Amino acid sequence: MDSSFFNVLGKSFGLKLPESAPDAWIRRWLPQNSVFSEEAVNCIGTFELRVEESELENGLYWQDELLCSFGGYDEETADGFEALVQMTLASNSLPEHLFLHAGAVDLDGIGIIFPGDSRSGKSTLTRCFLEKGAKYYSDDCAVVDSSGRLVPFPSALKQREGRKNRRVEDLSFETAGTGTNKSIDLVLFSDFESGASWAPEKLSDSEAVWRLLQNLFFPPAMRENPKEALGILRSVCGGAECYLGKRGEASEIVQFVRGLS
Amino acid sequence: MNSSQIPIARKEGLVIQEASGEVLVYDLDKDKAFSLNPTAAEVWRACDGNSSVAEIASNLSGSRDQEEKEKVVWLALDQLKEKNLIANEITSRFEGVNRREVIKKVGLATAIALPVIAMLSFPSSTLAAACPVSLCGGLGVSGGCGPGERCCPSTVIPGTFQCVSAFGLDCGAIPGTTACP
Repeated sequence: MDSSFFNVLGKSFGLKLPESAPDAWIRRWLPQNSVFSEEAVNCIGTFELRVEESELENGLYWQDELLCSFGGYDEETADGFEALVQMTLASNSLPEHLFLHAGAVDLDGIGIIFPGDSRSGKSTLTRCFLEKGAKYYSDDCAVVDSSGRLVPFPSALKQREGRKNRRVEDLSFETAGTGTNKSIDLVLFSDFESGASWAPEKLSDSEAVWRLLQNLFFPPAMRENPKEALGILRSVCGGAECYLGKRGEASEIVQFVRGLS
Repeated sequence: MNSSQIPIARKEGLVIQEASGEVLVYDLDKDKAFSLNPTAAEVWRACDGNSSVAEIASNLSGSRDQEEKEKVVWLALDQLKEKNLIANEITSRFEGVNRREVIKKVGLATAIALPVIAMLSFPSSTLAAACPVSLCGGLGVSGGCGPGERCCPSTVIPGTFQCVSAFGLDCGAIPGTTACP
């Protein structure tokens, strides 16, 4: 990979990499819809991967500050780098974009986000939606623009095995293209609980905004632009139906959504 | 106990959003968000600098007697004051009294939903390290952890500690780390 910049969400970021870094491995931790180039307009900052100096200081750097140590060109290191790159993007996102801990898809024209903590079943639900023909927007980190619309921000789909994530290599699902921002019609706060049955309660706008606030991908960004962030969340919840509940099988959520349309 | 006191809702340094009878407030000074349920919101809105506690109570929605309504207003004011959402000094009716007991008594006696204020904090990115920085000796750019970094157990290199950019989060919430032992 010779490019010195990648562009994502309308911003440019510098990228300094050692020649030894495999292209396929780098693409695992950079946003999947990044566009690489040799020129940048208004570069926000630079990510640098250092693996050549003393071993102790090897790692991924952002603006010369260590983000994460380098453990090798492996899956775990890529996972750590991916999440920290996403956090760095999120910290530079407001007022144009807000990052939420949420899966996001478009099923039959219905824009859906399903916020939740790690291990709440977002990836499983995303995969279930995709198997039923949904368009893929995100499985863990959903991006919303300043009008409250969903922006494609896909990462390599993951499947949890025990405590570890494994990337799903065979991706035959349809991914929303860059520029296809989608209105959000449904917000589903669904926690997985073995044996549970999905019988959700409908939330008011305020309750839903409050719960979305708890699912900000990068809470400190709120300090910079709270008014904008609240405005975006209000736009999301004002235009959507919002539900809260425990779910068992992911397929019952898909049935629920299809029953609404 | 003085219900002739006139509470004034703080408006400065706040971002306020209202919908469905509830109010969301963001405190720009403390970087905290508050969610006021309809009863707390109604009391807060009524703190206009003209109405006494007794007047706010008499205008409160619901059909209970004045005494019970005043207790509900004082429960709301108590929380609003604690969250720094009241601009002037007021002396709480329940000062020195166990609030849980009061809530139990008022809750049983009144048909009005009790006032509830939930709070969320939004951390800065410059908090102190969560594990002793000595555990990160030799790691990090300058041998310890730099500004905005935390020393956390690494999942990338199990069994080691590393300085990571904290983004205001705790070890374990930062990708590639687990909680401190």
